[in-house]
Amino acid sequence: MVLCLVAAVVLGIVSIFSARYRTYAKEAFRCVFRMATLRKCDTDFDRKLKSAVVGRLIAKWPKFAGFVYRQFEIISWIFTIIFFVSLAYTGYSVYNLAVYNNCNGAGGGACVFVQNAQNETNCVAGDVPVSPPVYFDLNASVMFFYRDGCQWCEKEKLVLVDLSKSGYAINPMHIDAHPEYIKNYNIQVTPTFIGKNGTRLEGYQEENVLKAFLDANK
Amino acid sequence: MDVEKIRQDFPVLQKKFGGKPLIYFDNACQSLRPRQVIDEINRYYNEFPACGGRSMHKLGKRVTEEMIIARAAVAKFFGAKKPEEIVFTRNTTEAINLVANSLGFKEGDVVLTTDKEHNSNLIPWQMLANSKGIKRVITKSGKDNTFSMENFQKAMSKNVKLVSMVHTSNLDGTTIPAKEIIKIAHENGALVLLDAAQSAPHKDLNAKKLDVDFFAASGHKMLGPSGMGILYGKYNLLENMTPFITGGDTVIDTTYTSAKFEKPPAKFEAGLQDYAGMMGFAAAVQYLNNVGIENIERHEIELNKKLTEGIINLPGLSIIGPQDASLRGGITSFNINGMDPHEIAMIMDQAANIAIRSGAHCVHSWFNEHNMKGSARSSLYLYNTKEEVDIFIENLGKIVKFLKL
Repeated sequence: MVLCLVAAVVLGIVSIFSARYRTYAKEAFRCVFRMATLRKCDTDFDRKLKSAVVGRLIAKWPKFAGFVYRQFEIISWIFTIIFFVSLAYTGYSVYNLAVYNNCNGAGGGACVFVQNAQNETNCVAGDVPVSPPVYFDLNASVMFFYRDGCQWCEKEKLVLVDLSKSGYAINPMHIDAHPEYIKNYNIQVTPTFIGKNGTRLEGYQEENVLKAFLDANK
Repeated sequence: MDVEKIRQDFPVLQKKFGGKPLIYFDNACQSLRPRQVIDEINRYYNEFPACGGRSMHKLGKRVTEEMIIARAAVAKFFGAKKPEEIVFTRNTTEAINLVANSLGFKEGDVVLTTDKEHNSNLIPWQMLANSKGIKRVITKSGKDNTFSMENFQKAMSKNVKLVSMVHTSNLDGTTIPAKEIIKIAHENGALVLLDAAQSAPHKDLNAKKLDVDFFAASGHKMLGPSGMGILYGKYNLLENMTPFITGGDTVIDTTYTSAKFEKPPAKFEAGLQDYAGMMGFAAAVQYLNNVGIENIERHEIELNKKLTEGIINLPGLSIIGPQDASLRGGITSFNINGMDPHEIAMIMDQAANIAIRSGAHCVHSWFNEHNMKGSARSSLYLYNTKEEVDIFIENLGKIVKFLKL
């Protein structure tokens, strides 16, 4: 029965940590194997699952239990499809987070984990994600340390917008989202730029100075 | 019989499972255990956890004494002439196998059974048929699955060496007329072995009154510890039987090439025994004695009548065996049309902590003969109550009403 697919994944993981679930995991895997070879499940696994669910429902909602009992196969299919689709989306989001530091991938404005992108785009919980500024590049060799409410940081961003027209970009390092940056990078003031080999510029920089620094750190 | 007071003696009945009490209707498999039995087992392990029948030190002597006391108590409970007629085994199955392997069957000997034997009273005879060439005759049950004296008398002959029958069936709870069967068997020169696994816990089973040659019973179905059973055998028969499992404690003396065997029961009790189990078994029979076995039987039948009345008219439900609950003791095996018995049992367990058995109950032969997969079975005992039966009926009613296809 199709719910074995879900059970095999869940029980397979759980049984790594607990011997108690290994017998159930074996039954679930056997059921999956039988299904994959177009044969009926010959363990009690499907029946146990169905009975466990229906048994819990029948005490309080007998009519609903009856519906679940009769439509269990269809409900199982729906649940299984939802499970695997969710699993795929979760996997995709984890991949994006690892590669792009953002759940929605390159150019995505999702706001779940990355506070610096969130603040820059005024993205708060429930908002529609907005694209980050064009001068943001997580792979850029120069890091730009800034914080909210820092006037000189805001003024520096206008410079960065101009520079972005010539293809310049910086790696944004939002201190409010990551206070550990202060200690890790020994940040004394904002804005601060740190290039390759630890070279740094502290405080607001005119466009020509910043451009030269970015050129030197290409 | 004060059921509420009795229930206080059973620790597991004081527990809640998922916030609900346990409703244990699987007594044909194993019964629950009272404190008195548990305490007696603990007494062995706490006070004298040593070997019995061997060691000369204080603890050893103490164990030997307790063994003697335990055997005597069990012998008295079952109406044996003397304690030596009680052989402790692991269970009914081992006891039956002991008779099968020790009675000295030879080719052509006939063993007569019913058509609804537990596998433990079926397979040993099949094995002997294959290995020694004994003949097996099966007495068909009558209508309602009850014992047919007519069929038995037709099957009986002077060639029958042993009549080996289930006294009370674990399938449908019906009991054979043992006294009459034993009389007819003896008139034909046959011995009688009763599978008393389901009768010993629930009925007055007296070896002397019945004049039965052997019976096998399980302690764990009558409040005793798991893994304890007995074989009752008339002493003169046991004396002439060859040992089944041999080894330490079955012999007086050995050389490299010979062994001088003990007298019964020692010659059948090889190796170190379950001394705690023996003591627990004795405590169990003492408990049953105090409550009164007739009271227990009466109580079960009353509850089973109520249960039967509550479910017999459920659409699609059929009971195996006679509809009259008084003929089924505390057992009701049933099926619901279109539902798997295992599903019924699992749903009852999940919905209301009702523990019943499902499947073929180790009587696969009967179900195969009748083209059935199995059944659900409720089996009652002294600590079950009317309220529990009401909950059972209510939940089974829900299953039939809302789930039956």
